[in-house]
Amino acid sequence: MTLRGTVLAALAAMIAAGVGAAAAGAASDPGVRLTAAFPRDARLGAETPVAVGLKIAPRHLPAPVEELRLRFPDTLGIATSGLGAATCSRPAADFEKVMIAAVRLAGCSPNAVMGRGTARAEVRLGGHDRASSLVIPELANVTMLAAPFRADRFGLLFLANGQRPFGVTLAFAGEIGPAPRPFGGSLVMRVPPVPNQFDAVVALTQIAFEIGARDIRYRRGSGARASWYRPEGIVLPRRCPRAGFRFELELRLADGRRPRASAVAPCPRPATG
Amino acid sequence: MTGHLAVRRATAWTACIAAVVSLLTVAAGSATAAPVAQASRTINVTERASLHLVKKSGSTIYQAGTATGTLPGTVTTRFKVTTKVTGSLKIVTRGGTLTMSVNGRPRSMGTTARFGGTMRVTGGTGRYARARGTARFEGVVNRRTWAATVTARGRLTY
Repeated sequence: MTLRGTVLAALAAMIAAGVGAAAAGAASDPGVRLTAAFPRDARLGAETPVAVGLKIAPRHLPAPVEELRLRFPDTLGIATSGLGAATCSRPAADFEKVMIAAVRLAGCSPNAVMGRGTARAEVRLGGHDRASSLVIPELANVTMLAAPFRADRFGLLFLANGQRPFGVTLAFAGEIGPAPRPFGGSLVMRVPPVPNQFDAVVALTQIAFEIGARDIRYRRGSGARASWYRPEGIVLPRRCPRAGFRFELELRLADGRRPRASAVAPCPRPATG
Repeated sequence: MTGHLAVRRATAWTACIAAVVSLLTVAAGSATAAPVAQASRTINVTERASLHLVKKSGSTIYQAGTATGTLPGTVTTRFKVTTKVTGSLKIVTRGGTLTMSVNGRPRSMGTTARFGGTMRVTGGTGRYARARGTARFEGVVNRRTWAATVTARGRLTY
């Protein structure tokens, strides 16, 4: 290839890469990053966990998140999975006071667990202004549980068990509801402000969870005859959707902004045999 | 000359006979193909279907089973399950087949989940070639085995 040909090919590749990146993140906000992936051994047509990750840059988006809405692909079988064999309901007051006096699953059945992960938040002591408050990072384990079905929506309950330094348990309500095409539904998590009696603001900065995580176990039967089994995870279609499995995240922040981010989970390999 | 005339007469007669025969055939054919007005019939239908899982692909679930009730037969279904339940259902009866579109919603979670909605006839064969009708259905599915029972009530005109 001549020098001119090489330069032209490089230019074409750069333009193509730029167009692709622009298309993938057309509405993305630089302060939010979304990732979505299946495990390496996932296969089309089989069940699998789905890992979703969100990172917020508090310098770009200092206002706390009040709602997280994750739109997932139409072909992803969440309702056709075996997840949510039981439901867990908490009193509405729990979602108003956010902090609850409970540990681990807060009395919910293990058969309601749909996903697990971790979250990182900034606890801002001394006010809303990030610059003038004392910022303490808090790490928590997050469990996503099935809650009762209400008004054509699958209910969800998120429990965040703080690890250090505060170690409190927070309860958030959520749901799986409809979403516009090409999405099959939206997973919503509502994060109301922690009541201000503590003069603290909790701002979510990072969350990563696996829906249908492989370490989830459900109990079958009761008493001495009880046994444990792994529920069927998210069912993948037998064919890959065009351009992979597209996810979109929309946040609602306390200042009214609605930043977005999108991610495409690459297609797993087809099942053999 | 006479021989030539005889041949020409015979040919003409043969042509005439052929024309008459073909006319009669057409007339007879059209008589049997003439549309006969048949009174359509409307019936109340109550069906109960027991379904088992055939396969799953993402959010789409394929089931098959048997229907008992007004139109007993075999059933195959293809449902897309998200926050809605949409898809199609086919009943094969002794008199013909009925194809329906399904539009419903899940109504509960858990191992035993309820769902319900409406269905509409979209096509048919045999006795049900011109069928039309709608029905409401309620169902229960075991989300571990994906075996389901569905009860439908509606009206069918065919």
